[in-house]
Amino acid sequence: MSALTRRTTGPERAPRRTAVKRQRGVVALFVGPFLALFLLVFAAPIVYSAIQSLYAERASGPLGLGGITSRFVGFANFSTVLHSGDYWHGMARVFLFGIVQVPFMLCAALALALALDSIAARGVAAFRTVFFLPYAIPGVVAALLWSYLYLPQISPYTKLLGVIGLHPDLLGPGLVLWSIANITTWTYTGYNMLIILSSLKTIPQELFEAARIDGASEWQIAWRIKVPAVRRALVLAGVLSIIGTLQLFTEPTVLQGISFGVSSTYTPTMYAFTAAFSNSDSGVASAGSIVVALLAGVLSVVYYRFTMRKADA
Amino acid sequence: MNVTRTSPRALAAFAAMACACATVAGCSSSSGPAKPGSASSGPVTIQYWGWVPDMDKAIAIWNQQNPNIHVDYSQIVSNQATTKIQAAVQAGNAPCLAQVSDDSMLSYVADGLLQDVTGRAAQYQQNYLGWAWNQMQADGHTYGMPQDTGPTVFYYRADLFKKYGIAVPTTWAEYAADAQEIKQKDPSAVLGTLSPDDPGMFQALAWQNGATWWSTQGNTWVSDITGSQTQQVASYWQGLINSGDIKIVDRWAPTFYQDMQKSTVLSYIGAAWNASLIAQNVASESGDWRVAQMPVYNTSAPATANSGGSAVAVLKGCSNVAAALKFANWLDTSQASMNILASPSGGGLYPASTTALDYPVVNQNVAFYGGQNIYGEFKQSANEVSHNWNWGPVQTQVYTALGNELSSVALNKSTLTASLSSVQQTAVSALRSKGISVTTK
Repeated sequence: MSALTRRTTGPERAPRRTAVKRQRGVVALFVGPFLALFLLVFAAPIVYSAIQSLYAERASGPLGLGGITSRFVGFANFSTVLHSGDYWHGMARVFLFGIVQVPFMLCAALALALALDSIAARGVAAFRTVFFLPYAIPGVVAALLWSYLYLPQISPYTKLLGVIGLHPDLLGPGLVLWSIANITTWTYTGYNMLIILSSLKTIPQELFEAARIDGASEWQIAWRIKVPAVRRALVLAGVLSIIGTLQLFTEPTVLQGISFGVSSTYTPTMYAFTAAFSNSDSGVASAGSIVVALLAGVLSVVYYRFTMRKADA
Repeated sequence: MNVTRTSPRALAAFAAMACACATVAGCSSSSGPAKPGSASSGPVTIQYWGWVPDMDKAIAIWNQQNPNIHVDYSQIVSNQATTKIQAAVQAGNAPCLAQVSDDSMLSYVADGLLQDVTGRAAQYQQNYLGWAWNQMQADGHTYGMPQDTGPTVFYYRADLFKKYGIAVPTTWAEYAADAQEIKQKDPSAVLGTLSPDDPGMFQALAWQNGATWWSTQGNTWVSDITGSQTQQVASYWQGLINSGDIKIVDRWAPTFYQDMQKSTVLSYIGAAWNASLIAQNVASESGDWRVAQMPVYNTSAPATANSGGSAVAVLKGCSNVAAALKFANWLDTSQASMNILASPSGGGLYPASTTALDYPVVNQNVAFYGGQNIYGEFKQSANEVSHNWNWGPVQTQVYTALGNELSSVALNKSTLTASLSSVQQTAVSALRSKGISVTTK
């Protein structure tokens, strides 16, 4: 009996083993390309940058004119970055920027999304496209476009403000940060609105019907049902905005060309860019970038935890 | 905001990739004959990167006349040149020759991007302006040949000078007096400008006064950005800023020429290459502008400065140095080449070669400047450029720091004189961080 079962189960088992093997092969075939690309274009640059941040270029030969050699310097580049006044001034600037601009933009995005979602809204598709349009314009183009609107000699806005007796220096050191905030708000409000709007569309209609039957007004529905329901979308938009703020680069770089108020180390990413391309110091540039990335990660996690705990409570 | 904003890192990666593609494509045509030892037998190919407009036309003439030394030219963008060349040299597929701006030569040498060609280049030295040749050297070694220069001159509105009853200033004292007089006669107008985004121009003003920001003592660099000649220039211009007699305005902002168009800026101190820029941007004022020598401090020993100017440098890895230099010398001195490169409607450069300064192409009357032979002024300035000036190996850091400081001055947060020590500090620490020995005077 046992011999019989062994004989019958024996040949049965063998094909199963090869099937598993074949299955593994298929899995590898499908996962392989992803894994290779992931390692090549995602993991490798990060690892390379981390390694680079531990090296510094040292000159050689008489008067340092004998070419450069790369030397391991440990955390010296990080020390340079962390002790740099310019770097932390830039960091303080983007924090101030984020504290004011991000909540303002998210409130505007939420308001627009609620307006487009309300039953009274007409021409929703057209408005949605119009609000989203600035996001489709490349960042550099948007910044250039606005820079022409800020230049006092040619701006229609400064002329209009002049009529009512206001002469703000939109590119001066006091206001230029907010001129930049205006560009990013203009560009990304529509994008965030779309995130929130798509979340609004997932709320079951029965909830609204039930609320209306219970006598809730449209305002109450918006505040009591819609806003709580899109909280997760708002948190996502918030995380993306925080990361984007820390990476602030394009707009101030373009405005640098026309404003005395924007220096070459105006934001942490500009600091890294200057280190890399005008000081050819790739070590400090990598260290500066890694600190930005780490801070963005930490801030995003803290923000997410904080807002989601509040949401669950 | 979103996460797809292009980061500097992504830009760098893209630049490196684009660069690699360009060099791979360019290399395939030269890989065959460009081997050491084979230079004498058969034709060689020299690769050359540059950014002068119409350069390809000049190269076509050379290639037609010199079947044995074929030049393969690629146009690059001037402000991306350094990154591109760095990547190519590191990858070992750099071209033989590349255009390098004078002020970057020392940085290129320090970064190990250039090849010492002292012996082979010596025979060509006599063809060039002495001070321009000096720009090709580091610590007594030669790394390329001068192509163009930017002798500084004084551009001014002859009609408005007449209207305000002002004579062309020959000294800086007269310039200050003129500035004050114009301000009194028309509060909306100013004689001249100073530009935070053009730190090279402030540097040229110091250069004119006999300053040199760098020298060497044995194996040590000596930084003298705070030296007395530069201090004198700084306090002079700070005086003009304080009195409001000149205007601080960005040179490369799109509105720069609007003040000229509105006739509220009456003059401009700048290099020869500004001539065509002014002509193009304020075309409506054709016939009103003239060129004169820039004001000097000491009329008994007049000196000018240089701003801009570039070299045909030999990059590391070039295996046909003799052929490359022969071509470079033809490019920078021959009449056939200069007829294209120095033509106001073509390359628009001002030659660094002494013989080329006499070619008809750089001795014509220009209608925009009232039919004046403005080149006569350029030539005089080119011959009077102060010989004292030396470049240091951290010039980009100096420009960045000086630009930031000039912005602070524009905002009244700092003064020009105070700025100098800050710039010097930045320069010195940049050298030290590279492990280069440096001291201050």
